[in-house]
Amino acid sequence: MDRIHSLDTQLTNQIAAGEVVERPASVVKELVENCIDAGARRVEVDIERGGARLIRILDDGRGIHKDDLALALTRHATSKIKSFNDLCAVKSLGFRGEALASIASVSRLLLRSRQADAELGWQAVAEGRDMAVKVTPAAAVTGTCIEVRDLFYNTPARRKFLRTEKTEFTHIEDTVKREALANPEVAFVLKHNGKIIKRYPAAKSFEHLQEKLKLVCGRGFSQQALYFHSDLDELSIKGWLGSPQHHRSESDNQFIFINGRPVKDRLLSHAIRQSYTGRIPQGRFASYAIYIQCPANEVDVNVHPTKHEVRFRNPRQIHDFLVKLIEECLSGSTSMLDNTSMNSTTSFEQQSAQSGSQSYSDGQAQSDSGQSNSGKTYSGQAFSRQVYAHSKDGYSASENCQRIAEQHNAYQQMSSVSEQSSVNKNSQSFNLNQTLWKQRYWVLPESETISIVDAWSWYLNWMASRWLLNCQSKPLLIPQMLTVKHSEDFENPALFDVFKQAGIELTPAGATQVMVRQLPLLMADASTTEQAFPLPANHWLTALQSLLQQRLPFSEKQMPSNASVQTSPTPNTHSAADESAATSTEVEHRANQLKQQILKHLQSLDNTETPSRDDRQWLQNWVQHQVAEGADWRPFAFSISESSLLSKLGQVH
Amino acid sequence: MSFINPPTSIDELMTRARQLSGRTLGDLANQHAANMPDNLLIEKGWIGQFIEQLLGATAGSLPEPDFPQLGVELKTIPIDETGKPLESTYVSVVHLMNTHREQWHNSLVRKKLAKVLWFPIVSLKGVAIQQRMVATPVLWSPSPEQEAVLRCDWEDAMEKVMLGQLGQLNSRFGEALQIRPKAANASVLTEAIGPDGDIIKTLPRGFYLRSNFTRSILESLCY
Repeated sequence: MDRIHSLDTQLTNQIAAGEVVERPASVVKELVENCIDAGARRVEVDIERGGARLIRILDDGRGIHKDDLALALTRHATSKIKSFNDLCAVKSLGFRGEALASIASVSRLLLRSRQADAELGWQAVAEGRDMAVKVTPAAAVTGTCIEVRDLFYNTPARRKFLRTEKTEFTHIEDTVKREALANPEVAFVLKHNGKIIKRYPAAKSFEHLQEKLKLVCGRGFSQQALYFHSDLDELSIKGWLGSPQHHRSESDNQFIFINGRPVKDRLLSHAIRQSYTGRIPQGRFASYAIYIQCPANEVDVNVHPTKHEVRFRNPRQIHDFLVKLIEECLSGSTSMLDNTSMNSTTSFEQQSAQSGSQSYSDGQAQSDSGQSNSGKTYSGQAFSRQVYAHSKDGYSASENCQRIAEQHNAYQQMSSVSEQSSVNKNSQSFNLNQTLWKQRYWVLPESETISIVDAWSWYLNWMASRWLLNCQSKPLLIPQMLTVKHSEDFENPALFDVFKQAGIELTPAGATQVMVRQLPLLMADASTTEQAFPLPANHWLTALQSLLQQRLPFSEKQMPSNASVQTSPTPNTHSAADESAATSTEVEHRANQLKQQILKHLQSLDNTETPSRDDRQWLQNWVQHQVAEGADWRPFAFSISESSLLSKLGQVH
Repeated sequence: MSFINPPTSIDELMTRARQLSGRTLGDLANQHAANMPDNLLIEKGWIGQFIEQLLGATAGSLPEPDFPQLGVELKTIPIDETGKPLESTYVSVVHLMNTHREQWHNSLVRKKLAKVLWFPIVSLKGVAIQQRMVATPVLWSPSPEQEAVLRCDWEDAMEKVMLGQLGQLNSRFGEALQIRPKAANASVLTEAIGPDGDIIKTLPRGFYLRSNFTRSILESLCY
């Protein structure tokens, strides 16, 4: 009989991870929310291969103390709550102290952090079954960087549930969208495979927030959305409602935030759906972004580890208030709320990108805003979570803006420093990434000498050695016409066989033209059938064109055309087989002559003209490949030592 | 235009196909005494049908390959002068009902794409149909990597169809396969599974190959 025993740490963490870490996007959610809780002003999310290979989150928040790094990776360790009372009124996004441990248990996690007053940064890596944490010093700017590599590498079952790179990245994009809208005062950058995909600047004012709404929900939404804002006691609801005419086929533009936390709550979505019923066609979805602020102890987020669901202490009040608000907003009436008795203020605005957007507000809001009928009613009010919480305590709008601007500047300085350092790192590596001068020459500084390699000649040499050996061909997608100057050369049909033998298929096209249908195909090496670094078609065509301006030396009368074979004084003792063998070696011989000719024409070209279809960098890529393979470039290089360079320069002076 | 017998072998098909390349549609229409429409607004599929006739295809728009004996599907594809496909390529309808019997290995998409004869047509803006040139035809079967991508997209898509999440099958969906409404106009509706498992009316959908996928096919086979 099996006995009961306790599970080891790794296993318990992996079980917990099953709940929290569903897919790469959930890792991004947990880590980004940590950044927000750490007071970050800028969060950078760097994804590789849909998050399966790498999720890197960089923030400029408070950072983690060196001595806490190891603790941060263990379960049930957090700085966010201390007592049961804190749990009853959670003010941060996270509080369970589980996310990092869970993520670390199903990936290779690196945590690097530096606090503002710390001398240097430290990094922690959790490894092995018992998750022993190694802490070492590391270079870091203030803030925290978390790298999650090879997610689910040790849980193959879960890895199989991952969808395509694209699908997973779409989920991550959604997550970042939600967090960006939930925390308008934080700037977000989202990268995928090194490319910046989304950039959400920090919103310092109401206009910025609208701008952000446009970035997240699309121009269509932001142009027609209705803004509403209402307070009831300590409960405050505001947001944008898509007008009923702008219904969508999917529910991807529905955002609800409670105290800055994106949620998917049944109670709230039910209220909103109910308000839209009858206004939009069945099976279609409304768009909205709704921000709810209520005292932390009114709402319980300790329902599910992902915290998408919440419970309200007074659900009916919230539900009814929301339904009433939205219905009024959608029907355009403003008078139904009794301001005095309910101590609430309500205002609705129709927003549009056109300047003449009308605003209709109830008395109080009008006297507040008074000055304009454009969407600027709340323009002076900095829209940030903290600002929101404090605005009643008498922060003036301009102060808030200034505060945020200062933080923003400080951040920008920091980011420019980090950019510089990354540039330095690149330049230290071999200068292979440097573009070729005139698309042809590779300049290579070494310790004592500087060399200039003629990559074009090097390539042609490499290509010739392959072309002279084999002669397969590959079709030209769009057959090209070339003009022939000495069309008499082509009266002998055997000439086409010679070209074909060299891998070039020509067909006659009128008296003075030929059509190029196939070009030579060069294998990377004899063992593979994979072709690599083909010469761009336009180079072939240019060389062929200049070749066809000349007489072809091998097209003269000794060409073994059918006629010449018949009239030649060949003794009858030769069998037909011998004859054809002789003819084929003759063709081969001539084809080699032809190849040499074409190579000469290629040599006189250069790589400077680049057509639209071909990869501009093909030659450079080839050089990189050759160098990686350890090929010798010296025969194609001109090298000069520093001393002889100096003496030359001395002569000049 | 006279009837052309179906080709009996792949070689015969390819020989016929190569003879068409490098020629303009006007030239080919003259040679075969075919009526050519002035524009393709009404007869959208004319080019494809014309090429089919020239090669001796028989299946028409039936749900089987254009050359049933050879298992080859013919796809004309408009390209620009640099060889870039100008639009996505229609593959097949998306079955919206009774999807449970359809698996990737017996799916219509896999069948249709098992062996395709691509027929690129250089179709520049403002150039009359007569002047459009038939480029080089290429015979293609998906490589294991290409098939894996197609399969992944297909399975994702069918999962969405099954769960009634048709809204998520928008233009951003899919790496190689795209799903788009395929109907003469917005009033043509068909039955599908709704988000709550009920039956709803929606636009018929079709599987399309994204143009960057077809581009990579052409680039891998041609200069």
